[in-house]
Amino acid sequence: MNIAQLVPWIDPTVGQWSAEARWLRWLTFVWLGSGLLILFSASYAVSVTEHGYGLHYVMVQLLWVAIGLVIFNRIVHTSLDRLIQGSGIVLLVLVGLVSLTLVPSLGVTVNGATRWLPLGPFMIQPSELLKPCLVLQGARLFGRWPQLTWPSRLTWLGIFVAILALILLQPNLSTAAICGLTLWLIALAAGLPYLYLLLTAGGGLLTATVSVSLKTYQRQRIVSFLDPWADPGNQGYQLVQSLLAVGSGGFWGQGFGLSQQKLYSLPIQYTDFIFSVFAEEFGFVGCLVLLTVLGVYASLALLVALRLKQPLHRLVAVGAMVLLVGQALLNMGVATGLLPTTGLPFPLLSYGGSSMVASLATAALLVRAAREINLDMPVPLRRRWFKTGPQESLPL
Amino acid sequence: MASSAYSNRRRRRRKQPRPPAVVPFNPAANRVRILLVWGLLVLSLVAIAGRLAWLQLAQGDSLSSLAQQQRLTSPVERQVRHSIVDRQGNVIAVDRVVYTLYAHPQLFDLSIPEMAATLSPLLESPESNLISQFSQQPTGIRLADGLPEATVDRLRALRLNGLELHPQQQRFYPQQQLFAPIVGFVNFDGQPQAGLEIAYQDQLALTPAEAVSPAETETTLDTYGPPAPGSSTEAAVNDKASPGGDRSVDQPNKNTESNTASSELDSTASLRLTLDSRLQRTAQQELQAVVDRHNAKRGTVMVMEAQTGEMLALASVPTYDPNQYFKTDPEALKTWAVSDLYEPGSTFKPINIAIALEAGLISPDEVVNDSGQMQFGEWKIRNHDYATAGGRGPISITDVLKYSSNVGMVRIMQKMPAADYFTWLQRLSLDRPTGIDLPAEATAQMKDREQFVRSRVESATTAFGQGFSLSPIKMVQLLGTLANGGKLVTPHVVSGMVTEADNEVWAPDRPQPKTVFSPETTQQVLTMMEAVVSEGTGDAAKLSGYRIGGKTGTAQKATVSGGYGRGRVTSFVGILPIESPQYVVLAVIDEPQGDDAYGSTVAAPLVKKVIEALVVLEGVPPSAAATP
Repeated sequence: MNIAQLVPWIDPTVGQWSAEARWLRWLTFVWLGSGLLILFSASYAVSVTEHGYGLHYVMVQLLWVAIGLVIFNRIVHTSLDRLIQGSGIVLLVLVGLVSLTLVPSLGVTVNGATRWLPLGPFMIQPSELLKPCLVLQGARLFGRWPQLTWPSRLTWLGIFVAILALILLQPNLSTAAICGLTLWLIALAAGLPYLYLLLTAGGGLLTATVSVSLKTYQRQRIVSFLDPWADPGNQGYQLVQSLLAVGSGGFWGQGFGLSQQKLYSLPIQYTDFIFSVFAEEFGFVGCLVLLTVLGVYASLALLVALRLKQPLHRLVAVGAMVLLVGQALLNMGVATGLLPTTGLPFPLLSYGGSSMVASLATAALLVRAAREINLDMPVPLRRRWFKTGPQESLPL
Repeated sequence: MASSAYSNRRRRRRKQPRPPAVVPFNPAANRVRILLVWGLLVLSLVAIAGRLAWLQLAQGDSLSSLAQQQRLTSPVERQVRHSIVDRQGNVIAVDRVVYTLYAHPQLFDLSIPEMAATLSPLLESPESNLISQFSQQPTGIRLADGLPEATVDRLRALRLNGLELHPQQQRFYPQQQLFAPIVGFVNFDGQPQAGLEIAYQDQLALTPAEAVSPAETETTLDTYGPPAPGSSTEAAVNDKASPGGDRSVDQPNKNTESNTASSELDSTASLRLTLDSRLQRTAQQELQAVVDRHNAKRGTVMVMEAQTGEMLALASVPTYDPNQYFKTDPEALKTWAVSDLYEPGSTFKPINIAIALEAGLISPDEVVNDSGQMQFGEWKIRNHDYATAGGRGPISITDVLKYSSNVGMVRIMQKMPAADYFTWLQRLSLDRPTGIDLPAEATAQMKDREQFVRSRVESATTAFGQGFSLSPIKMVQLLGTLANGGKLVTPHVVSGMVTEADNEVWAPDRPQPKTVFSPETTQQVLTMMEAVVSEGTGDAAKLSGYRIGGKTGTAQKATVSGGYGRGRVTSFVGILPIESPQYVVLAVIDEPQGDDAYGSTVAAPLVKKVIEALVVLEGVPPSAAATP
């Protein structure tokens, strides 16, 4: 019993959860497990050339999965209200870390972007970890929008804009975009007037346009996105290789582990372009299965959101759904050439500790929200029971 | 919280007249909004599914073949021609892959000085040079050409970013100058330009690269006719190993292997020459030394196996490095021993003696009168040593050769009517090429029959080897008749096409040798020639323990205006061993400078040096009855 509890993915209380929570938890683990298998295939060859043995990236990823699952269990057993309260301080710390990456001596630059902070042998990406906190804080702002005064609304909006701007400065357009999109969709789900939403969307687009027109590298990205074959050896290289990989998959795919593109041609195949490897190995059929899983996941999240009574909780569910499914779709859109090439990890698939922890935390928020469907009704008594019960048994 | 909510409500009451109930807590409205968000996700999900269907189902085949193509662009044709080997199997010409290195400084992970320091020892180029090259442009700098595979492996092991290697196929001649005039070279476009590379183009060229695609590997050209049954399987077994290590380079690409799989016999087989690299090297070195010492224009020294016509050595100066053919004087590209003519002079005398003996005009023990000089109308013919020795009076045929007496020769050949003499020269096929397997062989020039018969001086000068010209290789063929019992063999340098297991799968057709002298005649001439070496002008070629026959030659060179000038061609022929003649060695040095430049002083010592090497390499035993 006690030993079993040390294992982060064993949770004796699951039997008492709502059906949605159990389904979501199960589906998250299926997603996570498949993701590890895909990462194994995508990273093996590159790991052999870079480290001399094939399992390097899978091993590191497993370490982060273990950390992520501990956090997952912790979140699942903490009430949403408490999480929302606590997320403020965590957000503050993470924003501090994001701004630390801008300090030249601390931030680690990879591929021209300074997004990482060294942590022992690893590197953490604060902007990734910030995402689940942003969902909670977004839900907190927009869920109580009607009760708030304009000064406090504007203050909070200003804080969000400042965070996004900070991430943009790294530069990390893709993370800023997914964060902005998530906040915007939370606001949409919260029932804010369409006028505000349209204005914000317009403002966001305007910012993007200005940014693109100011920075040549971003403009080149757009141009090469529109016609990658114009310069397949240089500007369009990543996208062309990704398209070749996806196309090579055909209907049934090359088979697990048999991607050719991952060997020499496809760049960063174990992070941002992991979906291309998946598409080449599992083909159209595999992609449809993956899309179905994502659709089911989103639908379960929708069900949770609809069954929740508390607007804040509801928005947390919506935000988590957008962050996980939406980011996966954005990543697929990039890999298939529907969106300009940006560095966005596929949740639970791509190699990367921060992304893994953030994604598991986000999934945990959704599962926790699902659990609160039942807790919503008989409010005080059972919430207390749950608050204390599992926390004693957790090793943290 | 409460206070902010309160103030909020109060403020809205004051400023905004619209009903507050619209925005908050309208579960139905919020439900629609959440469905809207979900709908957006599902919509983009469907869009991606559609895009995937387009990419993987509609475009799948073309994208997949593009990806395939991209993987196939890098393999370089590793071999387009057969190798050429000498008679021991030493590589003379081989295809190899070399690399051109490009640098793209904008992609460097290291700083430019670090990069230069890393590459400097590998490229054998000073760091400062590299740094200045790197700063030329951000990308596409051509750093080095012709990098061998070994250097490239070390470069690759460094795993540096910003470097690019372009493989290309190249013909490599490891022996450099040694065989250049014979083997020729292939230029950077893969076109044969000289020598055997041209003459045996059909046998050397493998299947044209562009004709072979993975789908049609079955239809490979068989460049040298149907090989013996069984030899093809043997070659297939031996494909993995490679001769001489030069071709034991990895074949990283499956496609290359499948491309060559059906033509395995072709690529491992090589063209074997009759030449012996060791003898050739000695001959070349000694020849070069002689040419340098006497400041001569050019020279050649040849060793022929008399019974078969196989050339064991064919050295010539000038030569060139075929790996750097572009730096060569075009004049050096030809084998002058084959393509140029000279007047043989006294080395032709043994042939004339053989004609006279064979025709029964003289007997070996006959005596002729050597008056020292003779008058033919306006022409005066005299011995080379007339000034010192004067007329020798009656001398034997052997002495005619021994002292290289011109007058004696004229007396002998005068016994034969000019028309018969001309017929004899034609019988020796003097006016026809030898048929050696090298390109651009020159045909001997001689007077036409009418002039030869009408003018007495023509046959007189021909008697001592002047007034006509032939190529050195023709001279070797003629002298070969004395060594092999009278047969006109075809000199040749190619033995055939052999597989790695040393099975000959192709050999060129050669005509049956024509017999022109009887063995008795040639033996008599050889006995005389032995006297030339042992006690006459050929003294310098004497080699202790071996019976060698020889003849010197110092011919005057015709000038452009038609007369004879100061230039000479010195030559010497050696035949050994006299008891069972096997080898003919001929040295011809064109225009040696200095007063003491004769066949006996320039060419004879060279022939001796070559014979010294020859008897060691071929294991010729010393003669029992040899005069020390």
